[in-house]
Amino acid sequence: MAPNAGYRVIRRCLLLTLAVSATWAIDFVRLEHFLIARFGPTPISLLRDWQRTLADARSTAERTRLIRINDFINERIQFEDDLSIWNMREYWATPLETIGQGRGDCEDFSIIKYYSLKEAGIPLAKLRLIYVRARREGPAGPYLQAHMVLAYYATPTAEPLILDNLIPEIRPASQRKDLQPVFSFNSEAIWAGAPGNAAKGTRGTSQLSRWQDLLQRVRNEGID
Amino acid sequence: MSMYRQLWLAIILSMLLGLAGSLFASLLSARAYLEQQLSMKNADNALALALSLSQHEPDAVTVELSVAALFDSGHYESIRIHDPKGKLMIERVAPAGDLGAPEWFVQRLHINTEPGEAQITSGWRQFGTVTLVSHSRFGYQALWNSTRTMIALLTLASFIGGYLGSLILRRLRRPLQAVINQAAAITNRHFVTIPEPKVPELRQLAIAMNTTVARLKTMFEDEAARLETVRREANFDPLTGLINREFFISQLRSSLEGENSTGGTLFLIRVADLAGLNHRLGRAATDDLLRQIGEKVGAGGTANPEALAARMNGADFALLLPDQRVGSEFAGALLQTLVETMAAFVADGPSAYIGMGVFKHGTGLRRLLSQVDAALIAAEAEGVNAVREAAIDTDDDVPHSAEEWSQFITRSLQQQWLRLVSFPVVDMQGRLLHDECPLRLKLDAEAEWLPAGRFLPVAERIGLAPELDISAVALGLALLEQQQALRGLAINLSASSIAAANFQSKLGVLLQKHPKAASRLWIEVAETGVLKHVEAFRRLCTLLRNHHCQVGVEHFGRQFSQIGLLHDLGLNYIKVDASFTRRLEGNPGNQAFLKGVTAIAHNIGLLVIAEGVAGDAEFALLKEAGFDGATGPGVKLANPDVGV
Repeated sequence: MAPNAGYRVIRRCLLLTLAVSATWAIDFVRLEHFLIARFGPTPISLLRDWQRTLADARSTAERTRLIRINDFINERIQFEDDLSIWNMREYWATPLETIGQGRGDCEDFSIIKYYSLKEAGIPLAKLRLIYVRARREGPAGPYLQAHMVLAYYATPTAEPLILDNLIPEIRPASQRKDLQPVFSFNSEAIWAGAPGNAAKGTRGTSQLSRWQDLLQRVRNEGID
Repeated sequence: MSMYRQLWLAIILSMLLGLAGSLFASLLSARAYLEQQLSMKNADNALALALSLSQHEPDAVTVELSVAALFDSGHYESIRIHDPKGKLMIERVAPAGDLGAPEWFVQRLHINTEPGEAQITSGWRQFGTVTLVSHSRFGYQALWNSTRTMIALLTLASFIGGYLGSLILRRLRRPLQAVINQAAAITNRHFVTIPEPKVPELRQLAIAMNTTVARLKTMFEDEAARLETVRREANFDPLTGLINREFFISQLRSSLEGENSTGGTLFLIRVADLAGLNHRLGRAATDDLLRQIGEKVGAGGTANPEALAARMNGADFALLLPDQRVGSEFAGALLQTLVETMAAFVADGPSAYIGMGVFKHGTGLRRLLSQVDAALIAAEAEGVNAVREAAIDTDDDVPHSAEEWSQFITRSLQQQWLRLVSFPVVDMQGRLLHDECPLRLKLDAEAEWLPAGRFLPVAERIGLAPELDISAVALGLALLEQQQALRGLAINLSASSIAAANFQSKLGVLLQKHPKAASRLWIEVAETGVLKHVEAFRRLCTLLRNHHCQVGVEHFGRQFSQIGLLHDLGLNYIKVDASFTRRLEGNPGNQAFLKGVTAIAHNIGLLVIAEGVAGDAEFALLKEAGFDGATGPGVKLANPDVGV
């Protein structure tokens, strides 16, 4: 039993280091390198702006940070569905890919916001990615749409703030009657299994969940 | 440890290592697979539970019931729900129970799984986090079962592997054993060759050893050929190829005095008027005539393998038929042949004269020669081709017909009217090597003891020699057990015994009963007997060697050119015939021959003993010639206390 206990202690330490370094975890040099390689020089200005926004936001209050980042993403990223961007029914793009394309769908918005807030120093325990059912008004009347938003919980039991692209403004959940939550998850919960997978390698060969797949790609691109 | 065993152990060990390694590797990979599957199951089940609870604004009771329902399926080690602040809300933990595998196994092959975690929400609010761990009992059970199955299968595989390994080794073992046997045989001076094995390494070895043996054999034969020449020069007449006077006389002496001789018939033949022939025909034609006469005289004895023809001097020839008594009609036939041969050279007048005499064992040499010579002179005096027989005292008190002999010897065997007499055989310092013990027999309780020569030749003819020889060996063994201090005791076996059915098995049984005494027993067979039954003698050598007896050839040297046959028998000693050793001081040719014999015999590890040594001068010369021992009337046993 002793070796196992030791192993666990080491892993705890490792996770702790990851958590600490996660406060400033984006390797922009590497990110830029990948960006040029995949999308050419055009999106560099967007990347630089994003980097500056994140750096600026870090020194502000949490609430301000949320607003600045939410606004920056909603303004600078065009909404478009996966089929026209990636020619796939469903694709979760990494922040780099979203910036490279300059457009994304609801998951892409949520994901890049999640990473941006993480980079800006918001504890991940306060963030949840939530699948929601959105009621939309269309020309032919109201309809339901599968959607994803990012929720911010100031305290574990508080009412969350919703960062969304349908309504660019950040509102408390109670003011979003158009959305109905279905299932929420955060990266840590899934990471609780995932780092083991990633570190051991052998076990990770099984098919990754969509989320784990994304985490892997993000990490490869230089965001920890 | 023997090479086979080491090889076999190496095979088994490497196989066990390989199998244990594969067992270990497959166990580890099975465990890794189980861990992965259990972790995935944890994650999936946690997610499914959280998802189902999040659908309808959950309350504590619903959550508790759902958790209980899931947990009670029995497949979970623990299910816990913490509220968003981290406080434990609901917990279900399975009691520690039977894991389906022994404790030590579980400890050494621990299954580490990642618990599954998922968020439960109630509308927008966080309700809690579910943490779920599936039970690993099934994993341990599966691992334990597959371990046992694999151990059983691997054990079976080891047995099959071990069996195959020993088959392979057995294939290797046969040629290796052949090489080892050859090496052992060579150590025992048994120079055999073996068929070359197919295994390359062993083939090299076998070729090397075979070559060595062949070279030794060639060397041996070359040396033998050289010595044969020396022997011929020393003992043969260069013109006719018959033996010369000295050699003939010494052979005749053996026939008269030898332990085994029974007497025989002696002819002296004289060519009439050789000087006149020489004068008339010239030297070359005379030599040619003498050569032809020599052939005829030699041919006269072909019926008797022991017969000896000699050229005594210019016109005189001699023929000796040992152990054979023939009448004057035999001499008449010989004379007739000679007359016919000489008819081409002699116009008229006599051609040849023959004087003959039948003698028995113990007749004096001088007396015999003078009487036969007198008969020859009497024949010559007649002036025509003539035969005269000398009247030599041959009367006997012994039986004459074969039936009588058979009855008498059988009775003696039954009554045990047998004993051994002993003659010392000493080394060159005069210390006893062994006692040579010929058999004596009496035909009646009151009768005198007969020497072997008087009854053995007859016994051989009527097939009683094997029984006599067995009795002699039994007496010898008894004597050896009585006299523990006696270094050795030699018994000689007759030629017909060694080839007789059952003799060797009887001898084996006898030796088996006295293993200690057998190691001090020396067994010898006469050279003529050995050459007559080489294969039987070879078997005898093996038998005797197995009982640690010493084996030798006696009366050695007469058929020296056949020595090649003896080199691979594994003999211990030879006893050189008296005809070579007697009057050695006057015969430098024989001295050279004997030096050669001892050198060649020592090469193959034989002890060389001289027979019939009559005096100190001979003894000294034999010592110089390299002899290891001697026996005979002139041999003196040194005081054992002084010698040591």
